[in-house]
Amino acid sequence: MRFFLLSLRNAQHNRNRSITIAMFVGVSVLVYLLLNAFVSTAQNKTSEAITDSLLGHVQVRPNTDDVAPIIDMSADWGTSNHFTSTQVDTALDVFDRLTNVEATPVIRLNMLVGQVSNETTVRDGGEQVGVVAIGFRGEIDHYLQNLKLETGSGLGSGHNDEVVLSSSTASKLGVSPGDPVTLSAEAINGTVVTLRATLVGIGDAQSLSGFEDNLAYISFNVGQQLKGLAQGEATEVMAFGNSIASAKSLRGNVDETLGDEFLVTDWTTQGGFISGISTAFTGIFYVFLLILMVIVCILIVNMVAGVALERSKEIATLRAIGYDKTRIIMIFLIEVLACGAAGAIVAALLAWLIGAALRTHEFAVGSPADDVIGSTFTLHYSPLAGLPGTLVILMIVGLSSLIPSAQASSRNPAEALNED
Amino acid sequence: MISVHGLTKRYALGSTVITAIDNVSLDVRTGEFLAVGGSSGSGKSTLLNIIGCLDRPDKGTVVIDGQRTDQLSEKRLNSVRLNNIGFIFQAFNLISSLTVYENIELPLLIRKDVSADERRTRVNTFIEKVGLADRRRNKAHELSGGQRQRVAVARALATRPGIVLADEPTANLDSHTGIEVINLMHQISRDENTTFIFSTHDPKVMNRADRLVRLEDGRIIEIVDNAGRDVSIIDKIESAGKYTG
Repeated sequence: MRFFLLSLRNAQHNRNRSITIAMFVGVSVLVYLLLNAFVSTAQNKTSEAITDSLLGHVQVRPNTDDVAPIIDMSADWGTSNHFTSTQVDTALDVFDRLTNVEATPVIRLNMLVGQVSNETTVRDGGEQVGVVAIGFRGEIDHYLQNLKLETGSGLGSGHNDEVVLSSSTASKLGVSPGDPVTLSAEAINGTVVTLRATLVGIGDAQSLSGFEDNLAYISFNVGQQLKGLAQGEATEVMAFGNSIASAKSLRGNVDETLGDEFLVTDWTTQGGFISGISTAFTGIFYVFLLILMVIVCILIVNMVAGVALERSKEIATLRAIGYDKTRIIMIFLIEVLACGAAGAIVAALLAWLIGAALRTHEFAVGSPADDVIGSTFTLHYSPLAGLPGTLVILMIVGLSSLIPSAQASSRNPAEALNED
Repeated sequence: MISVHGLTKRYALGSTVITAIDNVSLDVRTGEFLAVGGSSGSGKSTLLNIIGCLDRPDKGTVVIDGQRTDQLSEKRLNSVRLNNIGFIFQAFNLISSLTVYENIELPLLIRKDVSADERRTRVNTFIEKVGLADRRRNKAHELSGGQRQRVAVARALATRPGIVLADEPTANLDSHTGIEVINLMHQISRDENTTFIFSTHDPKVMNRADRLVRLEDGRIIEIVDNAGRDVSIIDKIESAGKYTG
């Protein structure tokens, strides 16, 4: 392997060309690292918002024919599908035995929130707002990671029947924390149930505002009453794992144990159109990166082809003294990769410095991205997060040097030696 | 021992076919110091390239130390070039980014049977032999033409090949330096019992050879033993002006 010395010496000898290759690769890596940090920060923020405020990491629902992703344009939160108290206990028991994560019964439903004109009745002709609601037990507060309370408190503040509304819903109704509101929903037997609850908190979603403007959090017993469920029954069981990355294995463990009557899903398949929007933004990033890499590849191919032409006598000499084609290709490859790696290291250092400088800066996010990732954005740069992508860039650079170097090494050495 | 028989090589230049080597047969003894003479285009380089396994003949056979090389795979030809043949070129063909030491070391770097210690010893030995001990860290562009060709000689010999092929090794040198390089090659040929085949059109260089093979239009027209001892032949060649650059 010592013949790689020639690669390094060539890189050293042709300083301008080496710097150019290093710059191409360095700029690509820098752009990639910073964009990747932006995209992964945004994606993490969205994913955490989805799991914290809407889905948890794993969901267990009745296994019926009409199951759609929970957050989907076609999802029906007014469905009559639900678990009996025995099924809820079975699911909770499985989580308890197999995992150390927090599982809780949940009620999902569609409902109307209305103003109360006096202590007992809905105001005639008063404003009513349709919302989707999740009924949590009072001790569950994951949703507050994404729903930043403006006034009041979260569920479990001491009232029996509690509701937390988004600021836009509260504003439409003209209500404040402490005010009574009426909640109406269709129960599983088809009757409309109306009851009075106390608005305990108003908040705005940091991410997913496009969805959470119409989302309300209600106490679990309110959900049960509105849905017409008996004590212990629930529409589903939700579990909050240790991280979004561990959701799949958590789902797998639980799914293996629970019977066919249970449908076990994880957040990655239940995000519906919200996950779709997030994926679209990520896709745009990768398309941009692909275009950048195509440009870099063309430049590298051209440059190596030029070098190969310039060094045709040197290559022929190496062939004459016993170097085979593979070794000659390797000499070019190592030369290009050494320059590329130097550029990548400089770029990684620069990206780290920029990432550190931007760590405290809050970027304003414009429409429509703000509906998904929130109106402000703070970059979280992780040096290791970009490592796999950087290696892929270097691999692409190496591959793009293979074609011209393979052509150069395949030339008849006798012909190349006789050229002027 | 090298034996070529009925060697023919043709090249296409547009619609014209040029016969570079035409039915050449020749035996070269081990340790022989052989000159191949002839004017430009007579087929000297083509003959050396075929013997050196850089090119394949259209017809005929090449046998090196009992092995037919005209039928070997490319991989085997590489191996033959690495282990059995050293090359010296008219334009020296040193790697400009490497030092004298590294240029000589270059073929040894891919010899798996040569240890690092052995490699160092050999490189140092040949640097001493060609008289460039004080230039080992210099790069090629810092050397004179004669010094560069000495490096090329050392590189060709570093693998201890049985055969060294030198294509016009003195053409880019002044006559004094050219003779010095030929004398060096001759001395090493004797010391190492290495077969040297070199092409030249310089009569002063030819007369150092044990044997002179004259080519014209791709054919051998004359073989002269002990060319250097028969001054009349050299004079004849010189006066005919066929070999002047």
